[in-house]
Amino acid sequence: MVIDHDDANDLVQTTFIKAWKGLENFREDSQVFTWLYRIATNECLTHLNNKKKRFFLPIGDVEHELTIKLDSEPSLKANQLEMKLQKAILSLPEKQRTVFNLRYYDEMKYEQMSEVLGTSVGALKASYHHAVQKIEKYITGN
Amino acid sequence: MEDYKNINDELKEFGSSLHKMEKQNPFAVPENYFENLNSIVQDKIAAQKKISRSEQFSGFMAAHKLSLATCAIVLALGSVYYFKSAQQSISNDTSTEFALSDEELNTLAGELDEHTLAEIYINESTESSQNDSLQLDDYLIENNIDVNTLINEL
Repeated sequence: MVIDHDDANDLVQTTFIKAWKGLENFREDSQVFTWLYRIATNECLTHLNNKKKRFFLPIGDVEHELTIKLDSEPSLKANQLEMKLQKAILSLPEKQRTVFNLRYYDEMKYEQMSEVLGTSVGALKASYHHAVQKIEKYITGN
Repeated sequence: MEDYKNINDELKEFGSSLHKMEKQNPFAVPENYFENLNSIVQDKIAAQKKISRSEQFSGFMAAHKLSLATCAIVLALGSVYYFKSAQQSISNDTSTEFALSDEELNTLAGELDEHTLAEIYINESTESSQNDSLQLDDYLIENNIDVNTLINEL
């Protein structure tokens, strides 16, 4: 989601710190795994929004910046097609990108995703469908 | 997590070519990353606790800067007002005391003459002698002494 390894490292640590601090408030009606995912996803989205606010960037510019980072990220080991897919994912709106990553890479069930993102299963299916269509278009178009 | 097959079938249903691609996440976790993560997170939590304690006071001061300044000003003005009014009341008291004594002197000088003074003296002395005789009567009654017996003995 954030491409940069250092940003990802900071976000992982923040996620666990927040989870530790909020452990008392954790309700057992949801799984620990979905709870952690929820914190991590919120942290990622907050991080990206803060970046936009801090540098007064329009939404598209953050994605452009992330695409540049993608080319220069040393920890990334991707072939040409994989790189194309990553750029296609970055072209998606934030919410769709999150849904695609959770479904495609993390193979998460829609019901679990619904708990993590607080969105209905139907809306998530539609969002994933749109994301796949856009990615298909991007890959075949480029 | 859902089966890879289900997700691939879903992609096929969508008519996407992604199902043909070999799925591989290009972002890898560095080696031994999670082994050290525990201690890093614990250290950060401990450091944050220390900071939060010291920041509590400074944070309070910063948050209530305006109200603290207002309180200080009000206290300073209040104390100045208090001391000034206290001084003023002392000087007022002494002046009234002297004024009253002047008035008294004027009244006394105007109203009293030798006859009045003599009347006051006589009244006071008769009051005191009456009091003395009453006290003597009480003493004789309490001790059951007959006045005639006492006179004969004397």
